[in-house]
Amino acid sequence: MQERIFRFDIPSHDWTECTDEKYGAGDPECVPHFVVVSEQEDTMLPMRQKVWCETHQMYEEVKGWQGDTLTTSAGCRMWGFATEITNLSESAYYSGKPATICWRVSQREDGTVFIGRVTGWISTRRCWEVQREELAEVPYWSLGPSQGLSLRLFPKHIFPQKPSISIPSIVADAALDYLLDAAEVHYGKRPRLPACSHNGSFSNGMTRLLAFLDYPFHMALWYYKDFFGSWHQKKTLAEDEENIFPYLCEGLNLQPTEELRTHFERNPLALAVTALLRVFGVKTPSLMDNFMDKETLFGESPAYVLHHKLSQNLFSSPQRGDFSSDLFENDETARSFLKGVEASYYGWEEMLFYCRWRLFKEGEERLAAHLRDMDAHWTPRFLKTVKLFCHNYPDLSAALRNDLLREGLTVEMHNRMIRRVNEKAIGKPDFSYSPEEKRYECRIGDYTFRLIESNTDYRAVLAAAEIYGGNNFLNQPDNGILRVAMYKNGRAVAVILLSGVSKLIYDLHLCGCHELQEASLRIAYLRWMNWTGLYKKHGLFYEEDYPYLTEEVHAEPLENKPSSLYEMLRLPEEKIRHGYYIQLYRMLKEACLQTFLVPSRHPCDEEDKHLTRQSSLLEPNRGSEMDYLMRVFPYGERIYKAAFRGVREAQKVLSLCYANGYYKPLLPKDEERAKYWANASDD
Amino acid sequence: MKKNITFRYDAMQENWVECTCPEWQTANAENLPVLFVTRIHDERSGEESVQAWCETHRAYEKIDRCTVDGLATERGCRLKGMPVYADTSVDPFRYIYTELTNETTLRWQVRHCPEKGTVEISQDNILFSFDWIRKENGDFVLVPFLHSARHMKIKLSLQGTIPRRGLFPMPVAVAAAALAALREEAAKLYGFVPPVLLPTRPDAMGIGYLGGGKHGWGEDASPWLLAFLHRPLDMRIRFFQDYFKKEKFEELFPRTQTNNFSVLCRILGVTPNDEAKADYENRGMDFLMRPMLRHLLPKLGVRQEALQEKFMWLSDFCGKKGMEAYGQYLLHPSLRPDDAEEKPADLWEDLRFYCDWRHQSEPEEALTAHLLAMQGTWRPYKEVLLQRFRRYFADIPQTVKDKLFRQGPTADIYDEIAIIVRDIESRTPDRSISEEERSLECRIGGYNFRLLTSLAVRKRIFGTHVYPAAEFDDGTTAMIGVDKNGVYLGIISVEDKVANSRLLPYWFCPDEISLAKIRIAYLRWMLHNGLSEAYSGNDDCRRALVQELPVEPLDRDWEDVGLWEMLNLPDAAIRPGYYLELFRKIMETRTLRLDPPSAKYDERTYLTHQLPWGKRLFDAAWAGNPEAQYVMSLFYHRYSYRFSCYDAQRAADWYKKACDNGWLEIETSKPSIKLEGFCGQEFFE
Repeated sequence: MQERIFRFDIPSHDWTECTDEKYGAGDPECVPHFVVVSEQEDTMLPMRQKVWCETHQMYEEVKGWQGDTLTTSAGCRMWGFATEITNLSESAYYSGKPATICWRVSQREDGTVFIGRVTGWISTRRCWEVQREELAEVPYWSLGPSQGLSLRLFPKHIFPQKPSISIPSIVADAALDYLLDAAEVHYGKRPRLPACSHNGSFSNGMTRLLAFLDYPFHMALWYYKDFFGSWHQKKTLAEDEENIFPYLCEGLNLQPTEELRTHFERNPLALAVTALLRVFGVKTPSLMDNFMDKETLFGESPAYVLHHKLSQNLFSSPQRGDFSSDLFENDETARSFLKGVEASYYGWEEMLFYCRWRLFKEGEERLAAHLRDMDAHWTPRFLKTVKLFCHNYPDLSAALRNDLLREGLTVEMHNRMIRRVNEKAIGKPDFSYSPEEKRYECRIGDYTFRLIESNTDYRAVLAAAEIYGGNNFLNQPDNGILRVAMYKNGRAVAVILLSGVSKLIYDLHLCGCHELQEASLRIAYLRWMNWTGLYKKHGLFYEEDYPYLTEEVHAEPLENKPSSLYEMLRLPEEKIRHGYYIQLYRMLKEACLQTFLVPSRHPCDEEDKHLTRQSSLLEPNRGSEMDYLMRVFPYGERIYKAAFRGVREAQKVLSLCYANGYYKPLLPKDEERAKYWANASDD
Repeated sequence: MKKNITFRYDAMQENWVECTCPEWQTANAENLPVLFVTRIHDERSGEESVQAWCETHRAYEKIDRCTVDGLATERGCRLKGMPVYADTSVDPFRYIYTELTNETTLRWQVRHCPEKGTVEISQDNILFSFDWIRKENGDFVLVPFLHSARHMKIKLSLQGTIPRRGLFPMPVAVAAAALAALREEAAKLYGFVPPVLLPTRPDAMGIGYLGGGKHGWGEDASPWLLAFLHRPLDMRIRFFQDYFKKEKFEELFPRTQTNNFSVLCRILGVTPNDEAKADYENRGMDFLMRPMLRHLLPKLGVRQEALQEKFMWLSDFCGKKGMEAYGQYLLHPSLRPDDAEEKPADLWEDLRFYCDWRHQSEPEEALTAHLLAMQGTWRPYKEVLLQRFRRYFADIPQTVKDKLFRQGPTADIYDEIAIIVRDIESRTPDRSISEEERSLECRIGGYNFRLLTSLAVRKRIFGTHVYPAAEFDDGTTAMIGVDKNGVYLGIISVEDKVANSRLLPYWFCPDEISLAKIRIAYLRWMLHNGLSEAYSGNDDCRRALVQELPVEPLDRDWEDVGLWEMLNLPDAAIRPGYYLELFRKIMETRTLRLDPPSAKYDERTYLTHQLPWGKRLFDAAWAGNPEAQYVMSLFYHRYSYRFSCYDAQRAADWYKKACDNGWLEIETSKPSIKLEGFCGQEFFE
């Protein structure tokens, strides 16, 4: 019985096979084991690793690794199964916390492959640390229960029948090696594993093993399994290999031609590739030839994209949206169509839109060529660009669209689209109000009532008040509806809509279902309705409301401050006063402006390398900070200039920009600069 | 050769018909002009009519006739566009969200492609919303706003896979067209034209899903289409699927089997004669009616065959639900699904008791006539009535029984028995009430905290679906109802000095100011009784308790008087508070609800006729008693919808009348809780 043992390799954070003879005994208790403690004193500092040395009775810092052997700063060497733990102070360690010590894979004589997981309990004890002369928490381990999984290809056998352990990829590979041998002996030929088996659904080793047991020669079929409804059909699929091809064709809505069958026999995923390309708009078989041996398309398995990322109902159920020519020619049609397409997380739905647009513009042949190029230079950033394109399609100018058609999804195009979208967001107000209506703006008690002037502001207020209601909020026309934002202590809390019966809209979970605060909101709203006299026109109130509609209200008019970002950015220099920068920062954040793609300031970033390669325009620039800021986010120019001039408020705001808080950061995160500017403002 | 059929909504017939306008057949749904059509119930004239929204006059106008490209209204407007049905029963108070988007169907299309053997059904929907706009005369009108269109389609073929998730709901006309096309395909495939079955009541299914119309949501005809896809040779058998275990059904009636009839007869023990065969072929599920009735009627006391024959034309007996439950009972237990009932539903036991009781005093012929008459007017509430009749037989007064014998199970008698049942149930607590629990009862700032001792009553007030009954049925939890002016607003549970207010801000009290007031009263009540809170709310609510809120004992004057007794009280015994108490007790009863009276009828006559038990209340209200008038406003108020009629306009009118007669001065439960200083710094920050 051969046995392969896998240990956890701390430097690479992955499992690795033990090739050394000394592990071969098979009994994990005979192999030494040590626990490495990772600690971080401060989030700004890197992780430190230390290990308890029994000889010196003290913690020693980890200096380096040589294969499975660890060297400490004091020169001690340790080898064996290693476990890494963090947060030693966590109470879980007092009662013992389970950890996997090693994995074992072996094959029995009857062909059964056995995967064993040896677990241990990591607990802590208190030891006297000699050098520091204090008690220290020291982790130790004891052997815990083992979990096993046995698999046999022929006759098929899995025990336990519903395995629940997740297996590291390398361990699954080892088990697959044995199973492949078994398949070769039994069938006379060795099954070929698909190249894309590490992607998507196969990221867990367990699913790969199960897929192999189900379809040893067409493991890629596992991707297709979800296309077929019942268990019964899946079973037929597995047992009846002859009929797999017509069956899949039917499920994927393809014509089962001989040519396709040849491709399928070489690469089972060729069918999914064909189906996906058809969805994207490439239907001529000759154009697909270049794709036929692909097992990944755009970095994912095509079957996985078809089933999980694109609309699940693509083939069997009502399909939403039709890509008619009118859609791409008439911006209004496109706008209303895109309202129905909710922003998808991954961007594949948007990809569909993009491909159909290209198909409409330049035909199938050019589309196929474009898709091939795109696949060859695939980066996940493409999906971001495509999303940007799709959701802002009606707002992009014809010239920009044509350039995109010519240039493809370059960084430059991405930035041009961002510029266009941002310009729209900080453009002139969308809604106009009469001077009488302007007079409705006021402050009553704690609450401020302000007219909403543009769609951007409207969206921002709704987001700030945490009111969500689908895409209907997007781009409201100026249809004479009075839209009023209610602020309390500078925070937007509710929106009043005045058309017909007035609507007070706020998040139902606004202050954690606090009835008194809800009531205070309503009372303020009633007082405002009373003060403006609008209640007579827009009434329909509850019984309890009436007392508040007759009392006397004191309202203060608002000082004439710029209310929109448009005005804010164009405020004359002499009018800038204390609080301007923080207000500008808040408005910029609320407007959901996007940052431009430029190389990061840290040369080691992965994305950075990619960007410098992609775009000829953007030379790896390590120029001045001001240049960098102006290229990433030019809208904050006033803040940057003031900060460099030494205005404390602006310096604080710039620090905030860098600090990358939650929700729509203005600048890419840079903790170092954030700290620098925070210190500058404190000094 | 392709064959396309386009369907449009026919506003006059309220049905889907084939569309002849060539432009509407081909144009993109986005570009089609849309005409909103709705059914409007005019309370002033009592008429119900189908009206279309005229953009020029900004009003709904009665439809005169349909034209090729739109509609002509009685006012003389020629409206161009494709009509869509929009349901305008939108509550003006539900304006929490900016735009509640509705969806309705604009157009259906069925495309038959004989070369590929496929039939494609496509549906063009539009998304729209309503807004309440005030007209010059002060009335509000619902104006529709169009948002966008949505296109859905599905391709069907006999050889392809059957959609796993079913089809989208569709009207009969569309399903029939698709079925005809699929039948042609089947004829090509199998060499003969397989029989098909269509919904038996085409009028009831004129309007599909997303259409609404006079039959509410309309019935969905897609199951018929699905049945054909599953069993193309004999689709009728598919309707019996739910009676069987899934695997048994597949085994007994495989897809390729044509002669399902004889198998079904064998299983049910029915003689496969011509009559049964005709039933199976033409009536589908109703095939089960005859065997079922033959089995059931003798048990109910109709033993003569000649009398039994009179029932055989029925398509359902005591409602569809009753028939379905009984049909399954005919099968052998091994064939039935695992979750099927072992014995037939209680309905049959109750019905048997009722028939036995009648049979004591009337001959079989009269019983037959009565049972037959009952079928025409069967409503689900009659099931509850029969159940209560059997259960509380001994407690029901002879006068009511006599009335039931004379009239049969009518709505009036349902209400009378409901009142009796309420009295019995509230007299008999689920468990003994301790003194300590009694002391929880009090009245703070106009809100009454009242112990609810009977589970049945509690469920009737608050409904079963919001009431986590299992959690509180162990008998250790005290349940407190909170009411004001006879209206229950919420419920609190108390166990081991811990109060749980999860259901306190109950959803028929959606207005923020009332909610805040109840909350303050509740906090005071907890403080008074030394209770702590299970779900800690916001501590700063307690700051509101700086105001003086005295705790008063509950007014127990009417506590032990039953509702039946209150309704039959002599006039002299009536004192202030009577009507409010009457209303609270009615709320615990859940009598049948009714539609608000249309202007065709006199309101008073209508109400007295429909709710005879309320005569005294109505008389007092019309005589100018402010308390009775206030109760009338509660009757129409939205939180009384469970047992009465919702009519915002009338509720406001009655409230105004009550106030004019001095209700605000004599109001006993005047809420004394103040929300002053709310907008200042006092409570917040």
